[in-house]
Amino acid sequence: MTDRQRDLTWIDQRGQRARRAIQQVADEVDTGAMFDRVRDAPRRWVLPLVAVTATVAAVAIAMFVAVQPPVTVGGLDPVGGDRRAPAGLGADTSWWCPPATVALAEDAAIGNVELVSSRLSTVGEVRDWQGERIGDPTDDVPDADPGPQPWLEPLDADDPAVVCLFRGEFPAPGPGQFASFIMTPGEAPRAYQVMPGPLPAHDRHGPDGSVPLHDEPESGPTDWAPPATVVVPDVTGLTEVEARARLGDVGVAVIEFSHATDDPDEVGRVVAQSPGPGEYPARPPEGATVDQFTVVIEVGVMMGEDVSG
Amino acid sequence: MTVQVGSWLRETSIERGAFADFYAAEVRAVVGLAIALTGDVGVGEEVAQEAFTRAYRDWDRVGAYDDPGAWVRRVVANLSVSRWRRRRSERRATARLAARTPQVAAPNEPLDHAFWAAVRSLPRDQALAVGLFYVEDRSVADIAACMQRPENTVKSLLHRARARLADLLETEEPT
Repeated sequence: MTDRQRDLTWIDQRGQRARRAIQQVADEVDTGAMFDRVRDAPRRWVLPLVAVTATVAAVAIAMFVAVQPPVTVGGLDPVGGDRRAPAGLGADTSWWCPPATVALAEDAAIGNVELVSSRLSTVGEVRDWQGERIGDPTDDVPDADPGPQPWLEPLDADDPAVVCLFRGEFPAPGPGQFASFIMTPGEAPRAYQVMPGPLPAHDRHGPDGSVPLHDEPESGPTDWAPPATVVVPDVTGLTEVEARARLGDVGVAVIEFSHATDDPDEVGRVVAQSPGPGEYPARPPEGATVDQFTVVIEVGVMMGEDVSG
Repeated sequence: MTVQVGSWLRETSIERGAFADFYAAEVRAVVGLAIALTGDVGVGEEVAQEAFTRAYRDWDRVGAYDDPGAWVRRVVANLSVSRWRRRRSERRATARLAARTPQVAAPNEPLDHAFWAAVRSLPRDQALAVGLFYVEDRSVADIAACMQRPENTVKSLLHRARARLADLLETEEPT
């Protein structure tokens, strides 16, 4: 037995002992009283007045939307490859879609739509690219910034494959600014924007299009200058250490995912990267709320490992 | 169940009876998972309660799933890592515990705080996989079904998680 196998065996034994203790503690919890609290918890009331109010609001928004220029999102590649700043962006555009790449590997982290939207609901609407409101507006929001939350989970089992990648903290946008992040359910990416103030028109054309962004007149334009570019090298085939060094040389951050493989040549090496090699805007415009350019690499891990202990 | 006066939500006895059966079958395991992932009995109890509350609210939808228990466990995992929700749970747990005599007795086997702290330091998906593996002694197939991930992905998660735990925790000779 190798040292590593001994370590894993010891971990499994320790886990089994820990389980017994946890189960003993759980047995002591008054689950009957808990059931009463579950049953008596305040309900979400479905009121005719809410339905009427929502209908009136929808009509008002539709009338407002009808007089607005079309709103669009930046160009996105469904497979997380070549993502660039939207072609239609000009000097009067105050929003920039970062090339926040989403790993589509099976073991990629997934994003918590509800949690993010409830947190951001204090600073604006969160909508998907089709203009659909997401999240539960009745959820509580934190009094203070909870800190970096790079990986989140969906709470809705109806939409379990939403994938989200954040880079560092997610600060609230200021007036005229937009924070954007990307969630990708499986193969179909969706872009989400947080927009403070009144909702713009959302005549969106789809996540893989590139159309100009509506500039919010109430907040005023933000000067946007073409950003410096970064040339992302091809790191596929390199070891993780080599890939990190190569990407670090060009000043990008790296996030690594595991990629289960049965090819021993792929173990420990980068099997995929996103975005792919190429030239990209290096920095968001001044005033934007996005962070450093990040490349996601997938490193091969041998599948079929015996984890049963 | 009786209809609450003034409630718009009329409950059917059949639906709520099904929830009660579901709750009875799952509560012990879910509470154990919540305690492991939060590191605190009171907070774990609050997290488990909130997960079941959400299931109860939406039982018409959740109850129709193939595995409502998996849904509840995913909610527990989400709530366990959400800092601000944990703070809210802590406040409620503290208020409730202050009003009554603690009922949780010391376990015959001491809680391995270092082990579970190491589990909580893992990335969320690894922590959930490890929690299901060790707390509920679930198979890889069961964990994959609960997390709605392929089995190979779960194997990869568990492999990395166990290796990370071995690195984090002081190596002891197996007993």
